[in-house]
Amino acid sequence: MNVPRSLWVPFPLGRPMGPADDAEFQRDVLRSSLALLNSATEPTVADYERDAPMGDPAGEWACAVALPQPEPTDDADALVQGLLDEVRALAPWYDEGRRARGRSSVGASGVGADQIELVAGQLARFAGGAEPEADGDAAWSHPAPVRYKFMADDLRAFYHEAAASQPGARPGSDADLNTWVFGQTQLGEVIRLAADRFENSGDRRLATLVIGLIPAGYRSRKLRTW
Amino acid sequence: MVRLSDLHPDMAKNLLGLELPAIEPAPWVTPPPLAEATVAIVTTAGLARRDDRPFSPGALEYRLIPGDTDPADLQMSHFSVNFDRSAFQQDYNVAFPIDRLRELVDAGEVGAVAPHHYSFMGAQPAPERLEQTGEEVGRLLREAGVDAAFLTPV
Repeated sequence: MNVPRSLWVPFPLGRPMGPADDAEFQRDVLRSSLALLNSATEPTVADYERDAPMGDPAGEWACAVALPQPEPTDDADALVQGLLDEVRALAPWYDEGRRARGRSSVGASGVGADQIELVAGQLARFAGGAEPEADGDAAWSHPAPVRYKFMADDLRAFYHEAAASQPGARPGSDADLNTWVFGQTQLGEVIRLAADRFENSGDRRLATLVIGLIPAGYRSRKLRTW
Repeated sequence: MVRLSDLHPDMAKNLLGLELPAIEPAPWVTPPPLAEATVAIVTTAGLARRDDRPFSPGALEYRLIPGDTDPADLQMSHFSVNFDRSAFQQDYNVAFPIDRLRELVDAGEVGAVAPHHYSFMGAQPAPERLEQTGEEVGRLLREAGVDAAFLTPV
């Protein structure tokens, strides 16, 4: 990149405009950046001085819905059942979040949230080493095995959106949500098992997909609280 | 860009290990006053309309986001998981601030919103491979009468 005018902002990666749902703050970031169009007379990197309150890096946040305790297993049928139990427990809050926001980010795998149980079943069977079930010619966005990365993304988005609409003092931060998914849920374990399969495949291309499955720092099973 | 101290230590270590390319200064262009300028958004958030083709990992091409797209129809198919995805899940404006840009136009602070915006896949292992497409998008923006591109890196 060769950008003539830049505004350096101190926000977490993924939030170049700062806090969500804060129009005044975001307008100020945009205004401060666009002001450089007329004020800068040479290549410029200006600092944005305002910090944004966006939750603790890892605070006291907890999912308000009590999910079933995951069972240590690599049996495909047990993984499918455990994951479906979680998805069904979270579904009312996912639906409420989608209603309140008027949108959902679920869908990168190619099928919408109305087929999230199909996504969960397929990913859990892959993680458990079983053949995929018939999917009724679902309109997957990517061929296997790349599609499993986007299935994992969709399931994490489903969990995040369900968590964000629950009653509670504050929304979970990125670190809170990763600590929850990869420390306390069957989904985290299913994604780790899928990562194991990629890594153990002997296919270097598949092994590189692991970095698209699990955020840096959450691969270890030592993070599990169960 | 986030502070390194706010990143997970593993992520900070990865970033510190990246090689920084030498970048020559670009030709300096003086745009019209902001209140008369047409502005487009160019993002690397891996966004595409739901009825468009999603991005594949490492994709070098772009997706068009027409100015009248309902932002609720934008789907993220970014490869990286090492950024705060909950932000976009909650509010698309954190990565694609189309509502904020329209508000500044309505307030008379910015001249106009461009007819098209552009989206790329971020997390590129070799960003120089985007040069050709990037220059093409620059030409297309100029042909459309766009005075400035607001870049949102994700």
